Amino acid sequence: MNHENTDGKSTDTDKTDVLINTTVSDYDTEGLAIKEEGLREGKIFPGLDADYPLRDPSEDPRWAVRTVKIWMWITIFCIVGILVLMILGIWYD
Amino acid sequence: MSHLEIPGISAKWVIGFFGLFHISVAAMAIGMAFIVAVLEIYAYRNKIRRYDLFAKRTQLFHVCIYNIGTINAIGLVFALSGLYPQFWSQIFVHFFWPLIIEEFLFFLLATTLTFHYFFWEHLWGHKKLHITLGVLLIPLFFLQMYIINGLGGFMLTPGFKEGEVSLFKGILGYDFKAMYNPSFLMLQLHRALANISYAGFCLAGWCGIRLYLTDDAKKRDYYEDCGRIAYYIAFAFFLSIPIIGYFYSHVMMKEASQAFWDLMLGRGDILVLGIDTWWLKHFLVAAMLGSSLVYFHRIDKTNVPFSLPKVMVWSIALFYLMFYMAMGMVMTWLFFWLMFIAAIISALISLFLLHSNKNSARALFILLGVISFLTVMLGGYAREASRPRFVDRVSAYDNIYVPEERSPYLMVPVKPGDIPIVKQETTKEAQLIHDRCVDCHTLDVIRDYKDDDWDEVIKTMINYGTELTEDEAKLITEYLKAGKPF
Ligand code: HEC
Repeated sequence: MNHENTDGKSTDTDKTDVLINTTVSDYDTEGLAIKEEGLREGKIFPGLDADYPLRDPSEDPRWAVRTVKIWMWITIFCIVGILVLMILGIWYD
Repeated sequence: MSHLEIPGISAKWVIGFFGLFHISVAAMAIGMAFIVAVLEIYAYRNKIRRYDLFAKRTQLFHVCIYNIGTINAIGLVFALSGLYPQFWSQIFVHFFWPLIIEEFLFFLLATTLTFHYFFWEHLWGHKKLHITLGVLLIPLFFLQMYIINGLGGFMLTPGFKEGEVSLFKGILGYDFKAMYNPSFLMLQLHRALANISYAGFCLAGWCGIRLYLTDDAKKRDYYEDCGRIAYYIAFAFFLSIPIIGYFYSHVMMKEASQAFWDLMLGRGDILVLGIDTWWLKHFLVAAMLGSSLVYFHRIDKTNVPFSLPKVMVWSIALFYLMFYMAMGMVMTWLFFWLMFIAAIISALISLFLLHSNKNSARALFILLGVISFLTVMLGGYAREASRPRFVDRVSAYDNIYVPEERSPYLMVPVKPGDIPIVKQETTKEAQLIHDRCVDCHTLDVIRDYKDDDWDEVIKTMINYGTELTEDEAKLITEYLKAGKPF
């Protein structure tokens, strides 16, 4: 989804776009090889002319999303806790 | 009591090295967290991939320096514990709870930063979640800086006068009055803005280096573009720093006069190899102003995003001309003229650099990166070098920190009421010296004075504004001549 082109000049870089916009899994050795070859040949410098690669939320690895969500809430909770302590510190010094 | 010593370097410079290294890295890390968040949000809102890429590469750099910085900080803690044990244990007892929170923040930061960088490619379907995680780094870093500035400010302006030890009555290990000391707010503002500005200039400098290393037209466009954004953010935050600096020095004049006069007159450790580090820093600040105005004046022609309209550039120039004139009036006109000349010279150099690189800002980016690095180093150094030393490895801002009074805290649990107030037998003259001579410098200045011409000294001090009646002046002069203790 969301592959609309913002600068409208990518017809001849279609292959490159595909390479950039696909997240190659760490275990997909073939994909990695293609991507690396592209990088080495200097054909792609990821992102220079590429689309902004938003994708469907379901395409994200679930473990990653969960980890980050949990961690984010822990962090927010801790920040709020610290702020409360610091405000209490005005009276209880 | 004897102390550990580092052969050849001396304990003082070991701490100085760790401290400067720490400033150079930590300040950049804080600024980068902010800039990465801005870039990522900007890229997301405008759906521009290259800015997201720049954000990610910046964050990689940030991960690296964050690790180096924290390890260096541990080195600083080790060095202080061994080399200045009394000072260090006192400050740890004094600020125990804030420092525990500080440590906890280190943990939160390291984890959040790591997640943010390494999950970048995993979360393209949850970009907002990823951005939020990055934005959380800002309050985390800010809180961390907020706390450590309480200690930093305390070492400069302890918040109570000589002999007036704050025997806190509340929570042991947290002293409100010491934490929120007189220079706390100014240090906070000055550092918060300087960190972001410094990181921005350094990023632009990095883009400048990359511009030299590539011939690819697209890449050059990319680095020129990203360098400009970093520069723009840096300059925006840079602009208010001199104003805050003015108020900062005003606070110092009142609350840390010795440090203030050391800075103004270039005394003591402010001079390194005969160079006045504080004035040098100000040359560089004026130079950054001159270069930046030329840069933004130039790029307005091409009408690119993140540029300043010409009228804005001229307004800033005019404003700072007036600011430096005001500084000339309150300090010395020499300051105004030297800064003016520094700005003009650097503006000319920048014009030349832009011209000779066919309007590419690569050389200018690198120059500004280097200058901002030097500014941060010199400013950080001058700040610490100006205040009275922790003499004899015992933390002593003269008598503010009286070790005898503190030491019970280090050994046994005591109620504040149980702490004996050390009563010294004082003569009338000594009391007079304690009352009248500490408004502008510490008593150490008087104790360390080797000559015998006390008549002259007292006259000079009265000319400086010391309140003394003739009788009192006579009493003190005789007393000091006799070499009696005070
Ligand atoms: C109004 C501010 C002020 C007060 C109050 C003051 N001094 Fe000073 N004092 C200064 C300044 C500024 C200097 C540094 C000037 C210099 O180095 O020439 C200084 C330096 C000194 C020095 C070192 C001089 C040298 O040449 O190294 C001595 C000694 C001294 N003061 C003694 C005293 C005594 C004694 C008193 C109390 C009677 C006192 N001061 C009160 C402003 C003050």
